[in-house]
Amino acid sequence: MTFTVEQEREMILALQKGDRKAASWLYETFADTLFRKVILSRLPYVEQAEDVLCDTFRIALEKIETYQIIDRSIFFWLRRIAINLVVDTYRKQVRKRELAERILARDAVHMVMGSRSTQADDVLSQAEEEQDTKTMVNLALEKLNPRYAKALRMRLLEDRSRESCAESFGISVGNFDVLFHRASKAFRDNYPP
Amino acid sequence: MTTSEEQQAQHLANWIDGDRSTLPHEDVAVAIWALRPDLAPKPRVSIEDVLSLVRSGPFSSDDNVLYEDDSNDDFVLSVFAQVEAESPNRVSLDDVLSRIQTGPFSSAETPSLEKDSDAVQFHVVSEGGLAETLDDSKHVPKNTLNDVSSTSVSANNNHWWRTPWLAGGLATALVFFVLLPSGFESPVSEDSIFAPKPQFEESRFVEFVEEVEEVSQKQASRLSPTIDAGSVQLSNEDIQPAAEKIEASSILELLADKDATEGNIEAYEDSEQVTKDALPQKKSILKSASVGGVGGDSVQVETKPISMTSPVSRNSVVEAGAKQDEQDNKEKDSPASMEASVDEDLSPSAPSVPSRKLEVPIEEVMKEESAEDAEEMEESLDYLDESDLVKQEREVSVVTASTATDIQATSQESIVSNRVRSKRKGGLLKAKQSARQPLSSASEDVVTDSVVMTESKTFATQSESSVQLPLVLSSEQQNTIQTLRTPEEIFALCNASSPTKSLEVLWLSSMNLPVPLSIEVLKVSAEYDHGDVRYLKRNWLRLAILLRRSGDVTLAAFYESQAAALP
Repeated sequence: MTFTVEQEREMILALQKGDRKAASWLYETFADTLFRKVILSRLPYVEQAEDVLCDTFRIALEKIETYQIIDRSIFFWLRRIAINLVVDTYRKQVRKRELAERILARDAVHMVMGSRSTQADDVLSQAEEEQDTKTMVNLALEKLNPRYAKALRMRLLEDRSRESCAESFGISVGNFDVLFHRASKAFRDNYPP
Repeated sequence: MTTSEEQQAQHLANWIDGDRSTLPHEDVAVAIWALRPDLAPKPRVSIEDVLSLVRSGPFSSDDNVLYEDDSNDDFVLSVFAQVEAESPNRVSLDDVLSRIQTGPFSSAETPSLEKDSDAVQFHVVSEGGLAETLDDSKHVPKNTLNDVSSTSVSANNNHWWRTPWLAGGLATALVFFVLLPSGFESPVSEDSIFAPKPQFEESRFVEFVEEVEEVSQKQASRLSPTIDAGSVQLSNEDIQPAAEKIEASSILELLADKDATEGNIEAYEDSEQVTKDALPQKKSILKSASVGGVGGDSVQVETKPISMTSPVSRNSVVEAGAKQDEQDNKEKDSPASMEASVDEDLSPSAPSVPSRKLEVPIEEVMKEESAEDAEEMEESLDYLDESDLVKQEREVSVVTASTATDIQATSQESIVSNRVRSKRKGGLLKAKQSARQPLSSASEDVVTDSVVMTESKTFATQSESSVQLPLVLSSEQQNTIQTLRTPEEIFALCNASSPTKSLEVLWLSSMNLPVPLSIEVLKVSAEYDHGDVRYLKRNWLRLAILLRRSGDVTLAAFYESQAAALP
C-alpha cells in the first residue's frame, strides 16, 4: 500500500472526527509492521505482543484528537506508544526491569540520532526498522556460543537449507537440527540484549 | 541428545521449512520471531477488538462512556487550577542521583551537585504515564505534548467527588454521627475472627492454666539437657574396644551408629527378645548415661549438625580419659556403680569420654531405675529422636552453592549425607533399644561414617555430574585414552559423527592431563555440541571449573552460562 502525505493527513483528520473507516485504514496499514517489526522483535512472545498491539491502537484512537499533523508519518507516534507499552510489560516482571531500561535507553538513542524515514512509505519499506532489529539480534548473537550463532545466522538470516547447514558443520542433518534447536534456546536467554 | 529433544528439533526444522500446523515451542520461538519476524503469525487482534476497548475520544461508543464530559464545569476547573498552581517541585537532583544504580553516577561518593533551579526542573510525573507514553518530543510537537499532559490532569479525568479522601470523610462522619449515637452493632459471622468467642468457666480456666504450667515444667526439664556432639570426639585409635562396656557407649551409638536400620533394630529386638518392659528401662539407662538426668548434675549436651565430620582429636580424648581416671580414683571407695559415672560432669569443657573402669553390667543399673524415670527418659529420648534429628537434617541440608557445578555437586553430596544421617537415625533407634553394644562398634561406626563422608566429598568434587552418566566407551577405549598425553592424540579419537562419544573422550582425557591441556581439550567440546546434552553440559561445567582455577573467571562464567542454558 502506498500513499502520500496528503492522503495520510486526510485520514488523520477523518480519524479525529471518529470515522471508523479511517480507523480500519490506520489499523490495516500499520498493525502488521508494528506487530512484527516493533513489538515482536522486542517482546518475542506472541500473546503479550498482541496485547501490546491492541493497547497501542486503543491509546492511539482514544487520544487521536490530541495528535497534531506534522510532516512525519503517524507511524512514529504509534511506534513510540508501542515501545513504551513493551517497556511497561517488562517492568511488570521484576526480573526483567533491567531489560526494560535497556530497551528504553536504546530507543532513546534511536530517537536522538534521528530516523531518516519520515513518511509512511519509508516506514513500510521496513529497511530502517529492520536495521534496528538486526543490531539487537547481532548483539545477542555475540553472546552465544559461536557455533550456535553460526547456526542461527545460516538458517534464519541467510535462509540456508538444513542440508547445506549440516554440510557446513560437517554433521548429519539430524544433528544439525538438534544443534539449531539448542541454539534457539540459548538465544532466548540473551534476547533482547 | 534425548528423544524428546530430537522430536522438538525435528518439529522446529519442519516448521521453518513450511509446516506451520502448530507454532514452535516458546523457548525456541523467540529466536525465530526476533531473527525472522516475517515468519511470525499474524496478530489475532482485529480493529473491532480495539474499538471495543476504546473508552474515550471520538471512537468511544455511548455505552462505553462512564461519565459525562464536564469540561465546562468552572468550579472544578478553578479547583484544579488552584492545586496545580500550588504544587511545588518535589524532585531534586539529589533525589535523582540517589536512585542511580549503574553508570558513572552510580558511585555513592558522587558529590552532591549544587541545586540549580533553572537547570533542574523536574516535574512530578502523573501516575498514568500517558505523558510518558506520548513523550515523543521529536515526532510530536510540543504543544501536542502539553495538550496530552493537561488532559491527563485536567478536570475531565479527575472528579473531585470521586476522590478517596472524600469517601473516607463521609464514612467517618457516618460512624461518628449516625452509628455511634445509635449504638449500632453490626452482625458478625460465626466464621469471622471478630465473632465472639465462647466463654470459659473460671474454674475450668484455672485448671487449664495449672495443666499448662505442669506441661511447661516438664518440657523445660526435658529441654535443658542437650547433646554436644562436638564434645564427643573420637578416633579409631583412641578408642580401646575391650575395656568399655559402659554408659558412654550409648552416647556414641546415639551419635555414630549409622549402620543400623530400623529393620535391623527390629531383627535385633526379636533376637534379643526384648520385652516391652525392658525397653523403656534400657532407654532410661541410655538416658541416664548420655543425658545424666539421675544425679541431677548439670550435663550440657548439645546437638550440632554435621557432628560426624568434626575432626577427631586424639589429645582431647586422651585428656578426657585421664580426667576420667582421676575422678574414678577419687571415687574408688564407693561401689563401682553406674551412678558414679552418671553423676560425673559431662560438660563440654570435659569431653564426654567413656569411663574405662565402670564394668558394672547394665542390667544392674537397669534395676536401680524406677519405672517412672524410665517413662520420662523414654519420652525424652523420643523427643531427641524426632525433633533433634529432623532439625539436624534440616540444618545440614542448607547448603550454599555459587555455581551450577557446586549446586550439582553439593546436591549429590547432600544425598549421600542424608543417606548417612538416615542410617545414623537407625543407629539411634538401635541405641535406644540396646545399650549393650561395646564401644568398639561405636568406634567402627565413627570410622565408617567418616569414610562415607569423605567419599561423599570426593564424589562431590570429582563428579561434575559424571558419575551418573552411563559410559559410552569400552574399558579398552578408556584405558587407551588414559595413556594419551597430547591434545592431538585425543582429538584424533573424536569424530563429529559420534558427538556423544567424542564428548566422553574429551572428558575422560581431561582427567589425566594438566590443567592448561585439559582446558584446551575441553574447549573442543563445543564442536560436538550436537551430542548428548548431559555430556556436553558436564564438559562445559568441568571446563568452567578448570578455567576458574586457572584464573580466567570471565571465560569460566561464559561456559557456566552455556551449561546453564542447556536443558
